[in-house]
Amino acid sequence: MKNADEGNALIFMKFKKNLESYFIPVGILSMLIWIVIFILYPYISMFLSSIYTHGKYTLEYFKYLLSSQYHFKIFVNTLRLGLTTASIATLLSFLLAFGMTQVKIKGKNFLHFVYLLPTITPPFLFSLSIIILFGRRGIITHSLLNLSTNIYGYKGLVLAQTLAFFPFAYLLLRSLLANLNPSLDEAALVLGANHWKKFKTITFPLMLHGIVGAFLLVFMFSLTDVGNPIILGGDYLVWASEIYISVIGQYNLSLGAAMALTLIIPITALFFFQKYLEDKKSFAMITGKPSQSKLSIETPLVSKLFNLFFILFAIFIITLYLMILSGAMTKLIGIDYTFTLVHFSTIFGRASRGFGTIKDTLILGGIATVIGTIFVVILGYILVRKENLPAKKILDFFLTIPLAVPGVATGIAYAIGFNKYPFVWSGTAFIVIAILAVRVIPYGLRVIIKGMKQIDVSILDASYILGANDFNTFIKIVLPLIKDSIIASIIYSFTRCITTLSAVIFVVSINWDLVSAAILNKVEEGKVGHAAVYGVVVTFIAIALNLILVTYGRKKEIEA
Amino acid sequence: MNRYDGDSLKLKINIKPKSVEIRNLSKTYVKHRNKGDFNYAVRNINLFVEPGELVTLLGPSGCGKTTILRCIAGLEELSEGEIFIDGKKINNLPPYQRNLGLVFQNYALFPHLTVFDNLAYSLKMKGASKEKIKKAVEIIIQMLNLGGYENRLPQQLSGGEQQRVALGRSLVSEPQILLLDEPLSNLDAKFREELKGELRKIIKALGITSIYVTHDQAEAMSIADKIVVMKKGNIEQIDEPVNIYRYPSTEFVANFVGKVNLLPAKLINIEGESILIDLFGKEIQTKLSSKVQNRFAKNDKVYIVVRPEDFDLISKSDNDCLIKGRVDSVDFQGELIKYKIKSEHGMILFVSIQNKVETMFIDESKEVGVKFNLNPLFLMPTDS
Repeated sequence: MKNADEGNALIFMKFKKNLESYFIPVGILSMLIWIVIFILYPYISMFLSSIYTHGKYTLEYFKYLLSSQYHFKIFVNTLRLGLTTASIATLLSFLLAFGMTQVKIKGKNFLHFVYLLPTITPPFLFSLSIIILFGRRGIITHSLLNLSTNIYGYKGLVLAQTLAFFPFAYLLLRSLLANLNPSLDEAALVLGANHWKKFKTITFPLMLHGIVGAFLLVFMFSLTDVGNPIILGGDYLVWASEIYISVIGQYNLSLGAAMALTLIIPITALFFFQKYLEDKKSFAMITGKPSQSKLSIETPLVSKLFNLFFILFAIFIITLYLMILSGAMTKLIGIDYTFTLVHFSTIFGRASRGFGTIKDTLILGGIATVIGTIFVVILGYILVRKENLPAKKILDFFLTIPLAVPGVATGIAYAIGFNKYPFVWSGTAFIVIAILAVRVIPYGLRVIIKGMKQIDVSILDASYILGANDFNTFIKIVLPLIKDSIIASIIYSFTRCITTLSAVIFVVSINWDLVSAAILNKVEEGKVGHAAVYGVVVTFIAIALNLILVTYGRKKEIEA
Repeated sequence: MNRYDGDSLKLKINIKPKSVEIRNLSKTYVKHRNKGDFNYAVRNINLFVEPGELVTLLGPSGCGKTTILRCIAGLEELSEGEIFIDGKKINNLPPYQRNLGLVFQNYALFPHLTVFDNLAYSLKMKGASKEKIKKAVEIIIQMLNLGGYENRLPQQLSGGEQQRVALGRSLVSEPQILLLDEPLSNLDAKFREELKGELRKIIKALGITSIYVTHDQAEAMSIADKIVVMKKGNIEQIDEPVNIYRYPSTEFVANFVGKVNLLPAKLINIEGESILIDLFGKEIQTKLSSKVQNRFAKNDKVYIVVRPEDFDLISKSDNDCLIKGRVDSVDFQGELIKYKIKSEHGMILFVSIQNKVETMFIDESKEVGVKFNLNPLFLMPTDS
């Protein structure tokens, strides 16, 4: 009896030992399998599908896209929308970033939080608000002013996309401005430059790459945006939404694939260029001891104007969110403003799948987040620790592709790739989880790698010298030290999972539905109130989660 | 290696030395807006810098030395007081109208501009003609041996080269005065030693009035005509380096500019310069240093100020022995041997002996006697 126990213990020890020594190789191997199945395979399938129809290889669809007047018009529309949105959003973000860093603004932290809200709610949510406010039966346009304007189309899209995507540009510019070495400003002043000349000769040239980066970021978001054009586009057709229409409306997967591919190439190139600009360590950043930072604008009038603008803009954003709430609680916007909870009871009633949809979203998003997080933590460790891993850059590159490729293209790739032998997964939860995970992994990876890089290498070396192997070091040293990064990564990933639309619209099904897709469906059915209910729920969850993250971060800061 | 060719420059740039006067300067920071609670960065500073003088502001970090510099440059607003250059009040002018030179600690070279454009910046801002700019920049390039670097960007330069460009940039427009904020602190120790002398040489050659901020007492000693020692926003002492070292007016100054022994003693009698003093129970008749005459009265408790190098170690049975003690530790540093002596009264004395061929090395825990030159004695009140 005793012997058997000892034997078992030995076997267990041996197994554990094996697991430990194979930790890194197994990690790398599973990653390779992941990359091949969930990244390479679907994109290749999509590519093949675009050149293979009716049993033969052909460039028919590409030829058609090139010659079609219809698609040329869409192409021009897309560019026009992208350029306008990017210009306005960049200008707006610069103003906000400049004010935040250089002017005394009351309630800075709160305003900052408000400006960032659009990054954690579905990017097409404001389309709903805009319809409620400015639509044919809009509160302002119809009920207050009794206008018969048409917000659907170019103008509406510019507004919706600017509001949805400016925070990304704002974040980028703000961190750039905040990190500009204040001694450079002071040097310019002492050397005889007044504030305007200083801005022209020093601040602006040093920020130029950041401004270009911010512009490109919004431009890419606009080009790949599906939700807003579908909801608010009207007759104004753009490339990304046309992909959706050709797949969902015309069941032409091959045409969709061809369109997606034509979008992938410029977007991926722009993505890596933008990343290059962003990563390019600005030489103007603070080195060594940071000097005292000073607010440069103290003129009362300018400061007052900034404060006023900041508050009005925040109120506008909050109003947009309140409109979703009011849409969900009003009988029929524009016609009957009676307070009602009927939309809620309809969505969550027995006859509707509301609860199911939300449950699916949370479950699938949760599973994808867990898988993605485990994946990025192990991968992050391997990438940071194994400096000399030859395939490191390649691994990183492949894992980043789903971030660079427009979501709608990834969606089609999955719909095509996982609908045939050997991977017949369409309609399953599995495919939804996979696409969510593959899209959040690059984000999480950045967060985790950043956290890991802050661990002093000598701490890990100490662990090895004291007798721990890779596995033990990872469990006992690395994990506790990057706890905060892991929490941030989890919340970030989960938020994205429950708000993303473009990638999942092609893989959701009757069995497994997601909130963002449900919102789109309800709007298409003309049930704005029902869509708003989903909007309220998803916004509420996203804000609550991120508030936890913010307060947790605050607490950490205070403790430190 | 002479990086600064000061003499050749003097022929080409003629900077008229100007005086700087600071009157009742205070700078406060609001601590609690509602309670009206203030923090003084500097408080009631008065300072006069003679034309052509090189003055250092010396003190530990947070003593307010940089604040004064920034106030002169116009980068901080004064809470109270006035600043005059050449008798003209400047504290209401924005920094870009003051025409001052300022060398930043981190140099603050414009990273997107070449060396030439960095140097030319101030003249461009002042709208000088292309030829004038070119001529002025060339003089500076020649003076600072920056020839060949004109088209490089700052990040392509070594630390020392960047430092020279920073200095040059602040001089091109022939500023009224030159301000330097720890200009050598970003360089490594050996290089700093080298540049210290060269920096002083060029500043003196130009004759420009300069205010130099540092926390390094050795740097201040070797570079300055006059040192202003600061502590917690106040000036502790203003004097020439030698006097600051030999005749510190407060305990803080004494300790800040090097190691010091403060021997507690009591004045038994004082008549003019002649004093009778009680040191550890031994009555000594001697003279008071002329620097501190008329400051003490009978029965005052005082410190006798003795630098480590002023002590000598002798046999404890020697007649000259003033304090008996035991060697607590020895620190052999090559040219110097530093002893810590524990006196029989339990006080630790710092003794520094020049290591010559004939110097005896005394082992730890050996008993020794300590003597020092008693005539004259430099005293300090115990409450300073």
